[in-house]
Amino acid sequence: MSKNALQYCATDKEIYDALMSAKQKINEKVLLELAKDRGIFYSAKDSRDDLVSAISLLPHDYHDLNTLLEQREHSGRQEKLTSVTLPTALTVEGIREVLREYIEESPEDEKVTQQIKDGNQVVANIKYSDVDYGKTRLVQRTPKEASIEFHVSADKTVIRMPANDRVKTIYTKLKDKLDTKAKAEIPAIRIELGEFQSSALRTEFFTSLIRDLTGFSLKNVTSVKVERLPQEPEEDELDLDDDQEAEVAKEEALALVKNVALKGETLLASEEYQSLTRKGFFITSIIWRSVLNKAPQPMVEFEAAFEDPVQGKGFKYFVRGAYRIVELQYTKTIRPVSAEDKETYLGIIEETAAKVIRELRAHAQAGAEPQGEST
Amino acid sequence: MNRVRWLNAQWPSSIRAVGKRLIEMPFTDERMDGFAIERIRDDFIEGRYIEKYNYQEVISTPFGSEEVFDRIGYRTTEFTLFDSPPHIELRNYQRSIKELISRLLEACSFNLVVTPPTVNLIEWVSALQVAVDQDITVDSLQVSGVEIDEGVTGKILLKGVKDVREATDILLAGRKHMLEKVQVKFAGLNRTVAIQLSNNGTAKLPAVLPNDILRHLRVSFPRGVS
Repeated sequence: MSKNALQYCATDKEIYDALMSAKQKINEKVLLELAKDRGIFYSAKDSRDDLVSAISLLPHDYHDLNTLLEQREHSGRQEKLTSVTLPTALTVEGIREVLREYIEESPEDEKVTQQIKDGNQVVANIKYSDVDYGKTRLVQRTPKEASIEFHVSADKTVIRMPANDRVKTIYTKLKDKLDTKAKAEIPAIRIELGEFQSSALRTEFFTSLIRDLTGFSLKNVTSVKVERLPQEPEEDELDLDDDQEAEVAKEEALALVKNVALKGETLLASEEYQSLTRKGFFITSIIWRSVLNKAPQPMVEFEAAFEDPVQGKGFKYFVRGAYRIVELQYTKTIRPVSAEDKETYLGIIEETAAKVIRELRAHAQAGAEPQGEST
Repeated sequence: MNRVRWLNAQWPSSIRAVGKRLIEMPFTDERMDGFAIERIRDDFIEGRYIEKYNYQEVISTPFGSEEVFDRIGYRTTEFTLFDSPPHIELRNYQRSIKELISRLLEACSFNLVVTPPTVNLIEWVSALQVAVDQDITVDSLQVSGVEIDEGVTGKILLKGVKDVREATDILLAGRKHMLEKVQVKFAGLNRTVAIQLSNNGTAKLPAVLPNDILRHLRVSFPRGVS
């Protein structure tokens, strides 16, 4: 724990940089308020630069610095989630044991705790710090929190976690431990589209997902990103002059659209989107709103995307919030969804996505069979 | 008052095939929305799109308490889908037609383009005049974005006891403008019928409709511009 005990002394230059770099969070009003707390009244007409410069020259103790840094923090911007299904029966106690092992050898800047939820869930809470050396020294280290949830059921365990690199490393370590304990490699089933090389099937994954979401009916698609599968150069092409071929390749690369992001209303019915799909683009990310078919019928906004769209890997998803009905109209502002509802909705996305993948696979196989390629 | 809206669409398959898919999405007791299809022909489908919604009615009692009632409501949009433009006709449509469009998208396996048209109203009125075969008076008209001076635009509402089109031409001569709405009047069976048309392809019609007026409006709907 020697690292945590390190003493740090912030210079006025560092405080100045930290204040200046957060233009939105630390505006003139916040700065005046910070000074007022110390009993100093600056003019409301002072520019932001002057205020920051004056405040940074004041003496700051540990508590002052903390208040200042708190102002900078992003409030509750949550990360997208991803999940892995282990199709073997694991026990809650077994997972706890692996977590205990991990906690013992976890790195110093990581604080892991674990708890049991509802008897069949193990939640590992990880507090870690994210270091960005590109930022000014005072705000290089951002404390972060992540939780890895193990949902244990009779024949499988679903592991749900934030889709970021740090958690990915922790997951890999935990998975190794689980494998060692089981004395075999437990297969990890992820939602992946790499096996589908047709852009139609990849788009169908998303359209089926938004259409078949259990208990919901689709209302609106507000954001879509589409991308094209990279064109593989064909091997048995007519072999003409090599130089000429290189020339042609150069020419093609000039007017090439790789991906397009669309934002709007009922996007999938738009001419722009439809013409892109006809040109071989497929959906890689989507934000949509669906209405829950149960009173009080909130309209829930979801997001689903692939981290690596071309490989079809790293499926991540998120419940962005919900719009409520007030006087027979949906409100204009989105509100966060309660923890229980979010849990249910996330489960629905996972199940629907897995079901859609199974259907697509059957569909792809049925399509391949007449050519004698069934496996 | 009847409200009608026309939209352009590109169907992925024949209109009968679309109709078949819509029949598979019926409105039932268990569902929150669905279709009630009445007629399917080679060139059109006629039906209704029904949505069920739940809401709570809160009544404040004179004793200072509140009573909450769970209520159920239904919204119905009548529609006809055609295989020629304008492809979609919605009658007494809801403020939000996103649900209906989403459902049509699903029925077409997400291969459907729906475009709200931009209509040249002058063209529409002239074609309507031919279709109903009688004189039509444009008795009021709304133009926006009229360039009065550099950087100055105006929104103008013209009203008259006679046709205002001529006066409009004089007023707007050579100026940039956008015709937004017109109200046309013509003699119906035994009384004058007033119809409001707007450039986004909607029409407001009297509650009691003279024969065939909807068909005339549809037939005269300008096709060129979308």
